[in-house]
Amino acid sequence: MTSSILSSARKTQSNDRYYNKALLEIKNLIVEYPVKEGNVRAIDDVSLTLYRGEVLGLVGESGCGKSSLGFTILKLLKGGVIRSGEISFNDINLVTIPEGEMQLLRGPELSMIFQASQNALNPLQKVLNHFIDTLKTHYRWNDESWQKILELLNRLEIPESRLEDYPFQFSGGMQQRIVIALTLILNPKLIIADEPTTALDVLVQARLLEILKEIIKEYDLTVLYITHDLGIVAEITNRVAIMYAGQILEIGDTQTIFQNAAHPYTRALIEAIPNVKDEEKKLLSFIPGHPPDLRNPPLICCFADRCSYSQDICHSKKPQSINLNFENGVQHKVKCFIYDDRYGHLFDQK
Amino acid sequence: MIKLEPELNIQSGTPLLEIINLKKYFPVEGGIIQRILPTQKDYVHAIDDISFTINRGEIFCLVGESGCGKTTTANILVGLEEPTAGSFKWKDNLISYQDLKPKIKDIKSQIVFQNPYSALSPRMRLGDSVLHSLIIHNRVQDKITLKRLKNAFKSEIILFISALFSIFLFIISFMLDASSGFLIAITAALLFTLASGIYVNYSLIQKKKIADPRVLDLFTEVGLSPALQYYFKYPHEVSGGERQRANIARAIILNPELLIADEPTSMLDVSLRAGILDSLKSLQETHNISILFITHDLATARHFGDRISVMYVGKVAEMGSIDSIFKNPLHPYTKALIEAIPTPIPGDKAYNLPKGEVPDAVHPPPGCRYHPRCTYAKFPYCETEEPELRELFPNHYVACHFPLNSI
Ligand SMILES: Nc1ncnc2c1ncn2[C@@H]1O[C@H](COP(=O)(O)OP(=O)(O)OP(=O)(O)O)[C@@H](O)[C@H]1O
Ligand SMILES: Nc1ncnc2c1ncn2[C@@H]1O[C@H](COP(=O)(O)OP(=O)(O)OP(=O)(O)O)[C@@H](O)[C@H]1O
Ligand SMILES: [Mg+2]
Ligand SMILES: [Mg+2]
Repeated sequence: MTSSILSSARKTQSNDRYYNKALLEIKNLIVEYPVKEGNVRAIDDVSLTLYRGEVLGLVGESGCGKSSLGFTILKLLKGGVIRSGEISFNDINLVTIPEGEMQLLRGPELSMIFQASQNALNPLQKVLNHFIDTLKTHYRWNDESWQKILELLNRLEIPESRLEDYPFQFSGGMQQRIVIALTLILNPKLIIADEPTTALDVLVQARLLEILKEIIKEYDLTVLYITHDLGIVAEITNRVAIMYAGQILEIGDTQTIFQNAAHPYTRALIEAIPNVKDEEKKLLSFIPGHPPDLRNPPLICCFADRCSYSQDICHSKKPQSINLNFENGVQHKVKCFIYDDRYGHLFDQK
Repeated sequence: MIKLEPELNIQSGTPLLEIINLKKYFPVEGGIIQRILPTQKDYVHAIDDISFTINRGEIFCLVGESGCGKTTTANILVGLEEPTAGSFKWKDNLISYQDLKPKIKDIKSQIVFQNPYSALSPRMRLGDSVLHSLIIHNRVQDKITLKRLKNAFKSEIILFISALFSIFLFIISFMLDASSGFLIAITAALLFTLASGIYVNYSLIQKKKIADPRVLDLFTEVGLSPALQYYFKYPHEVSGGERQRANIARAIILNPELLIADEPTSMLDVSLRAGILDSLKSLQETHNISILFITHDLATARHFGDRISVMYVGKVAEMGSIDSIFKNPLHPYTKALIEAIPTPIPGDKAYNLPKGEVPDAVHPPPGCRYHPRCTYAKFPYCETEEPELRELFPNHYVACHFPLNSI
């Protein structure tokens, strides 16, 4: 595909385009789910910036709050409450704007590919009707629409001839691509992709990732890519945020995270991934214990119980986010006392 | 440690279970026309003529994409599904499936399921769940277990009587008009219930009396320690990883010779996964169990298994030792699978990914089942002739007309 109607509108190609202009800024966000036994703190003081044109990976174990963060940004949180914090998107504060205005943003401005979203396709409607409906509800149906649809289908390797088919006639991988096409047709600025490939097989997943990578570049999308698979992160993202128990423990450049991870949790996580392409078979390492209960969390380091470096201080105080400096100049933050000038000496013996 | 009766003459490389030409077709529920005309019946070719051997004391991995027939194979081996055709050799004796079934019942093989969340009864404490599998299999004739069960029963009785007694006290207290007597009776009732509850549920002495020592040992072995604490927990009180450990304990306590593990770690997080595999491996070594390890994750298979069989749409595409398959994959499909796994190295790229998707198992493609997706050699008879599984290197089998070493 040489010329693209979709991308012509926003084409700013340069290598250092990242990290200049923030598209989405989250500040000190706290989100809780009130339950019988207290409050589940799914997002605990998260601050995060998404820059225009970047792919930011959000990685963490099951239940650490990744989807909750996605839902919060789209204001689609079911049963959860934003306790405090700010989310600004293009200088609009999403926390305070009324639902009516939010509806206008959802779709054409920010959009989400949900976890297992293949199931969201209406089984009674042909694929073509899904596209028409999506465009019409957002008043985007015009003369060019038809061409747009065909171009996208072509891009995502769905044969034109299958537009008249029903969703159940497609395989899981194709359904997922249809969902992605439906998201892209509205030309959103920011896409939150919540585990878009987890339900798929390795081969289908690998192909889809390749297509996604090309599309992100071509359409100059900004993506928050949620996954638990660090292998995918290595493949597709520019920066990564490591989430644990509702907090972001480390955030930085993908290359740096994989080669020079600062937080003990990130390191342990990277060591636990088996690599098939290793020359030698080696024993895998793992992290003993399990993630903490998110109900009424104590004010200590959330990883202290499982951390092999932990000292008394980790069990008595909550670490603050600390800036680290790496050569490439990309902002790198970590929440760990080891890197805190005031407490670093406590860890010297290790 | 659990008492075992190990057979001392076990050598690696001696076959435990041979599966020969196994087939499983599921009939497709067709539309009305097909029901009226029974001649046109369609079948899902879930397993279409596969053979492999599981040796004693080895970890045999079965890998492949979703729907290629892995779970169906496991289900047949534990007696949950009848095969359409196929024969079996158990320790070198040719037996039919009907004869294999009692062996299965005789707990020669046990299964650990894909989903740790649904496999344990939510109403049973972890320890009881494990003990229960002994009871189901009529393995509780020994005196120790009976005594433990009696103790458990006794504590239930204590609780029951104390509950009755406090209800009785309550009734009395309502019948008493004098407020002071009323209060005393209520307090006594409450204290009594509380005390007996604490005694039964929390007293270490009582717990030690009830808990089965074999289960406790096993819990320590699978990494649930302190075992006494985990023994009395309910499934909802522990994490997914711990549940899966209890599941493993439940299978191991029956002392099986073959353990079938159907994706035991795919529902778990990476940080827990390696721990479970570690426990499984050490159990396999100490008890000399053979494991049929089913997974779609080649990376896990590589680090965990001894031999591997790669399945594609109901057929074996390639089979051999882990080392030779990963160093020298001969089937284009195996190579693609290995290439496709995202590696934890930024900038690493996969090559030669096949296009298209897994074909429908109702109408599998003629010839080589992989030919529509194969990015390598495409010769006319890839499309017409089915490749045989042949031994190209010692103990390395491949079903491909043009294996990669010939290109
Ligand atoms: N409606 C709800 N009510 C109460 N607790 C909830 C609710 N939704 C989510 N939670 C809890 O909030 C935490 C974060 O959930 P979330 O779905 O965001 O996790 P996740 O990181 O997306 O996990 P996964 O990888 O399994 O999708 C979990 O502990 C979960 O149990
Ligand atoms: N009871 C059944 N009736 C009809 N078809 C079935 C039945 N059980 C399985 N199948 C079909 O048989 C094929 C093999 O299924 P199986 O569950 O063995 O796959 P699998 O390799 O375990 O896949 P996964 O990795 O998704 O667990 C699939 O096409 C499936 O749809
Ligand atoms: Mg989620
Ligand atoms: Mg299965």
